[in-house]
Amino acid sequence: MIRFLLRSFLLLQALALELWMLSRTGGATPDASAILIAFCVFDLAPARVPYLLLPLALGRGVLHPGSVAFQLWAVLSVYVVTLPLRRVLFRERWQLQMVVGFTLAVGLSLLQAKLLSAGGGDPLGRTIPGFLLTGIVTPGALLVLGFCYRGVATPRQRAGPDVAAVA
Amino acid sequence: MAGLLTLGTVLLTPVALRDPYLRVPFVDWLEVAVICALRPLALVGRVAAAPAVPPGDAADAAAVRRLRATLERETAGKHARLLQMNVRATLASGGAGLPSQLVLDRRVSLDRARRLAGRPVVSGENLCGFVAPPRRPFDGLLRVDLLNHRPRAAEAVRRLLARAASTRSLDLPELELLVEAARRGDPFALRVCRAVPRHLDTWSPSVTPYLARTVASELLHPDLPAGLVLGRVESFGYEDRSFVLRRFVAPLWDPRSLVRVGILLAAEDPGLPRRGRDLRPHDEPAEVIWRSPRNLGYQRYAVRGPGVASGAGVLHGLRCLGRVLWARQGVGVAAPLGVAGSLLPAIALRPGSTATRAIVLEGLGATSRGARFRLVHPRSLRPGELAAALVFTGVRGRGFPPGRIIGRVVAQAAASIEIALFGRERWPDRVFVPRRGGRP
Repeated sequence: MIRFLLRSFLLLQALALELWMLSRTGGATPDASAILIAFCVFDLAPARVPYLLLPLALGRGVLHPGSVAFQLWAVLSVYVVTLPLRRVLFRERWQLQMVVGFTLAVGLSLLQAKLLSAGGGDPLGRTIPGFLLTGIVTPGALLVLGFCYRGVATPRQRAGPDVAAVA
Repeated sequence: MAGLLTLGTVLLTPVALRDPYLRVPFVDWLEVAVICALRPLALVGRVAAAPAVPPGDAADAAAVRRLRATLERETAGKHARLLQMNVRATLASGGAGLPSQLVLDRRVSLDRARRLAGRPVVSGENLCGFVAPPRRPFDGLLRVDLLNHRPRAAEAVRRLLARAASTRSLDLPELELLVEAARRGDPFALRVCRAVPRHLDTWSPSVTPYLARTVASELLHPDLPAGLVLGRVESFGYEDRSFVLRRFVAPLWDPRSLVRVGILLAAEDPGLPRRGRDLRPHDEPAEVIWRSPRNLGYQRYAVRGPGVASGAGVLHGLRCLGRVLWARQGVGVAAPLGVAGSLLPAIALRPGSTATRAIVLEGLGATSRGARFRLVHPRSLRPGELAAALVFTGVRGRGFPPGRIIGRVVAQAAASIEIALFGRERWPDRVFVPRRGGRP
C-alpha cells in the first residue's frame, strides 16, 4: 500500500512537471503518459498494470481536460491495442521501443483531440517535436523506470521476472 | 488480467465516446486525494478573504447597475401594477425539453403565496407563466409554472385563448387559437388544440411570422389581460396543398434566459415593499491552491473554501471568472467558462444600448482571446448584433449568481460568438464563491 501511494505521488508530480514543461517549451515535451503505458506494455506483468494505469488516469482526470472515466478509457484502450505487440516485439530492441512510444503519444493525443476539442488539435498543445521527443526518450525512460520500479519492489517481486507471469 | 482490462475498456467505451466530460460521483473522493497529494500544505489552515478591492470595481459596478436598471425597465413594460422579482433557479422539465418552472429569489409568507397563486407572470409584454400554488410543506419560495409546464395527470391542463396576426400586414386574416402546454417530444413549448380557420396559411414568406397574443376570456382565464404575447406560430403540414397537420406556438423567450420577471397584480393586491439589494451578496472566500500553467490550450484551477460546491460560480468582485466543475468537502477543480459542451445562460448588453439580449450559449472551447460559443437560444443572430457587448451571467441554479460580468464580445457570426472572458486571465489567489445553503 505504501509503495502504491509512493508511486502514485511520484506519478502525479511527473504529470504536473510535464504540464509545466509543456507551457514553457511551447509543446515540445515528451508525453509522460505514453512512456508509462509503453513501460506497462514492455516491462510490467498485466496483473500489476492497473496499479499504474489507475493513478495515471486519476491524475490525468484532474490535471487534463476530460473526466476520469474518459481518461481511464483512453489509457486502457491504447494499452489494450498495443498489448498484442508484446508477443511479437523484443523488448530489448530500442528501435521498437521508440516506435511504440511515438505511436502511443500520437494515439493518446489523437483521442483527446478528436473527443475533447472536437478535432481542434491536441488540447495540451503538444507539437510534432513533442511526439518525436517521446519516441526518442522512451528507450532510456524505460530503463530508468524499470530501475526505479524494481527499486521499490519486494524481494519476491524482484526475484520473479514479469515475463514468466505472462507465459 | 488482460482480459479484464479489455472488458473494462469495452464497457467504458460508450461513456467515453458519448460524453467525455461525464462525471462519476464516487470518483470525487479519489480526485480530492489527488489534489491532497498535489498540494498537501495548501489544504492546511483557514481560508482568508481577499482584502483588496479588485481592479475595475467602479466600472464593473456601473455596468451591473446599468444592467439592473435596464432589466427592471424591460420587465416592467407598460404594466401599471407589477411586482418584479429576480429568478433564482429553473426547475423540472416540460415541453420541448426545456425547464418548465422558475423559482423566484424572494421569500414570502404562506398567506401571500396563496394570494399570489395563479397570477400571470410576465417579462415585458411577453406572458411567461403563472404563479404556482404553494408547495406542501411550504418552503417560503415562490414558484412559477411556465407556459410549457404540464401538470400531473390529476390536475387540469391550463388552456389559453389567443389570436394570432401577421406582423407583415394588418390586412391579412387573423387566426383564433386555443393553446396548451406542449407534450413530451413536442418541438415547441406550446401546442395548439384548436385553430380557426384551421388551414390558414401562416408560413408563406409573404405572411410569416404570425404572432399570437392573449385574448380576454371570462371562462378560461378571467384574470389574464388581453394583448400579452404568447409567441410565434409554427405550423407543420403540406405547404403546397395548404393543409395544416399540427400547429405550435414558440415563445420569444427561453426559460433558461429569464433573469427577472414581474407578477401582474390585481387592483385589490397589496404590493410587496421594495428592498435594496447589495451588489455583492452572500459571497464566501475561496483560495486557489493550484493552477495549470499558462500558455496551455486549457486551464484548470484547484480551489478550496467552505462554500466551494459543484456548479458554483467562481467570483472576483462583480466578475464571474469560471465555474467549479466538481467539488467534495470544500475542495474542487474549477475552469473558466466556455468548457466544450457546457451550457451558459447569459445576458448581453451593448454599450450605449437601452435593451438587453438574453442568450443561451454552449461552450466550444478556448481560443487565444477567450472562448468560442455556439448560440443555443436564439439559434441565430444578425452578424454584429452583439458587437462589443458586455456579457453577464444568467440563471443557472443557486450557486451561480445572475448579473455578474463574464466578459466582452469580440467576434460574432450568425450562429456563434467569441467572448473575451475575464476568467481567461490569471486568477488571483483569493476568489469568492456564492454561499451554500438554502434550496434549490
